[in-house]
Amino acid sequence: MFIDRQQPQPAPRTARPPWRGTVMAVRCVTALVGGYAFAAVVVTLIARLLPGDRAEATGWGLTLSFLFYAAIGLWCFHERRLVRVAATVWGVAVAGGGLLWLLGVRA
Amino acid sequence: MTGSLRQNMAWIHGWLGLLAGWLLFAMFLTGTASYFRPEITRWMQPELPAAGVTTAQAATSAVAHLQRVGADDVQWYIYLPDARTAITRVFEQPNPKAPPRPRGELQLDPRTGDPVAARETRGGEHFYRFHFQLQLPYPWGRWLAGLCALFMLGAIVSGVITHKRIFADFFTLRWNKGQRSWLDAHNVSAVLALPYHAVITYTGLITLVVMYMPWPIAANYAKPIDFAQAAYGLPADAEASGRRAPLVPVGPLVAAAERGWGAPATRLVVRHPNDRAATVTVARHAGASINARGASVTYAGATGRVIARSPDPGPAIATMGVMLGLHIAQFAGPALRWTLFLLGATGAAMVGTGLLLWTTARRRPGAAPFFGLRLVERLNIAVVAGLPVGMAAFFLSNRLIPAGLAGRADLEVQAMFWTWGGLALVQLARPPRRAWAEGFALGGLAFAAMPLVNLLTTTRGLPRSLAAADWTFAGFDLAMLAIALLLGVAAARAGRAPRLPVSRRSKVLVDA
Amino acid sequence: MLETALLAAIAWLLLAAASFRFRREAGVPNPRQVRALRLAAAALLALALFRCGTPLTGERWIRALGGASIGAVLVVLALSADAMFVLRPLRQLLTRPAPALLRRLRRPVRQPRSY
Repeated sequence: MFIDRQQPQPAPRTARPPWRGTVMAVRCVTALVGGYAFAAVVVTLIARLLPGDRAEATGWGLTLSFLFYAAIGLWCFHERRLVRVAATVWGVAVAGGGLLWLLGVRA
Repeated sequence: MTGSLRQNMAWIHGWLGLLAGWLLFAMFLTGTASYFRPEITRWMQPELPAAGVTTAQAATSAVAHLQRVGADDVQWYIYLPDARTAITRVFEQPNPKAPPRPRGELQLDPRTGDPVAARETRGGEHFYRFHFQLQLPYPWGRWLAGLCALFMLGAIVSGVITHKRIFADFFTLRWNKGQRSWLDAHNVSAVLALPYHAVITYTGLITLVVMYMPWPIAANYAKPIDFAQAAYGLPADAEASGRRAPLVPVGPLVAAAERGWGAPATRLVVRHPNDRAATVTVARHAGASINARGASVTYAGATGRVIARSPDPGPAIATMGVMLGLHIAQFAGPALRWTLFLLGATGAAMVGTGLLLWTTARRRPGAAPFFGLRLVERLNIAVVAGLPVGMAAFFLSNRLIPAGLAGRADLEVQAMFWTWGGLALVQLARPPRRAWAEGFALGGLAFAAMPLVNLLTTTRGLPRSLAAADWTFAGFDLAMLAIALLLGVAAARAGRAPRLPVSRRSKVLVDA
Repeated sequence: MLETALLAAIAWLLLAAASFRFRREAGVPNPRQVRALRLAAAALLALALFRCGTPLTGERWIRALGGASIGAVLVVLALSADAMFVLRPLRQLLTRPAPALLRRLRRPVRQPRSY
């Protein structure tokens, strides 16, 4: 959209590797779905582990949720290496999810 | 993603804006209209005189009516009139064992409790609900609106990151320079009202966060309802005991609650009326604070005793309430409300100029437009030029459909969507430039016709409402004329052929 | 609310005059004046914030930001239409040499003025 003189011309369609579409699709799914999972897990951990009043901790988790989602979603489209993106996002989501499952509901 | 941070953010900004742009434009227009939700409803029921009853009287009359028609209901939601709303609005949750009857929102006269003697209409509720449900069934509409809002949030953050000379170009707006002008207009509408756009977007997501992100609640509470109880003091949902007991008069309960707060009540929720376990929850009007969640007090319905009060909110819960208040602006007086209305219009301009910039940036002089460009251009016309005409059709149909016709509320809504959809299709028969000009011109005519149709079909036309200082009706008609003027100017400019650009053949550095 | 928007609009006008883009139309000759203009603008914005008093806690900020945004949009639209015209009062104020201004002030009132 903002065409910069410094950026090299995009390669003509025939010369692009065929897996480019798949790579972009994986990145998009990671950002949208994985990003949601990442944000959900992070704020749920905050809500679960923050000491003090339960309702307050829940409130802070809810309030911060979309900040995390937007940030991680945009980062997915900045970081060049897809492996790093996928590992970070899905890794945190799965690990955090597992941790939450082990913690259980706050008594 | 190859490229610097700025380039990557520019890329994702373009995609987020493009994919969500048309829905966001519609959300901005209908949301901005919703700042005047009760005034729109009032304009659409011109038969109603201004109310003049206390909230206690309105509650009493509403309950009396409900005892007649729905004494076996599970719940009654009663929204009391206030300075801006002239009617009592009621939602019933019927008893599953009762024979089915047509349900929907009941609009009652606050003085008598009878259904209002005015034309049946959704009023401002239509735009309000469309704004976050997009006319789709629950929960899909809310999810889609939430996704668009999320894209908007991403677009704002990426837009700020990518905007290079945000201070140097702060005052830059160059006319008649094609792509450069659209970019300037997009920057002006986006940056100058950036606090508003950022706040509206984030707080909009927070209004439905319990639906979008229920996980923090699930991790802390075995039963989600316990969170609502802890945060807002709602009483536990008691089961109906099955033993009958008459409901105490609610008027004194409302009056007592108002005395305790020193502020008016806004809403009553009666659970299991006429049961031994009935409860009456009275909620305080939130107009006196930025926090939109007013306090509430719950009485036992059979005895009138206080059984629960909302707790003083802690900082996190108060923050959520303040965020809700920042979005719906229930506290805003007339001057601030008009300011927010103008800022909302600026938001619509931001989205619209962004969509137009997308096509302008990809148009190559002399080359045939590629399919994606043609698709985006046609969608732009359908939404940016078409939706205002649809909204005008909603208002015009309110005056033109006979007041006594059954089902007219649905007909008004259909008028909006058939007009919008019809225009979206008809414009395909015209070349894009003509379609833009004609679409805007049609919108200008429709809005200009509004005060005229109002004058001809009701007794509350512009001259009379100006003379009587009836600012709801006069303000509405004048606003319609102002919008008509704006659309007329847009039509004139859209119809002009562009000056041939004095540009270099090589790619131009388009800098934000 | 109107007062807030107007005060903010004047402040934005001063900032525009100090900005590189409009320095010529505003007749701003040197960096010292640029700084003075920016300070004056900041003072006006602070004044707008303090003067939009309301009983509600926090509403002051909403009014100030809202008024500032509206003022900014109006100023940019006006400048884009005709910057020379909009900045003329400021230009006259800034480019009139100081000694001449003082001489005019000291001149006795009864002497006929020629325009």
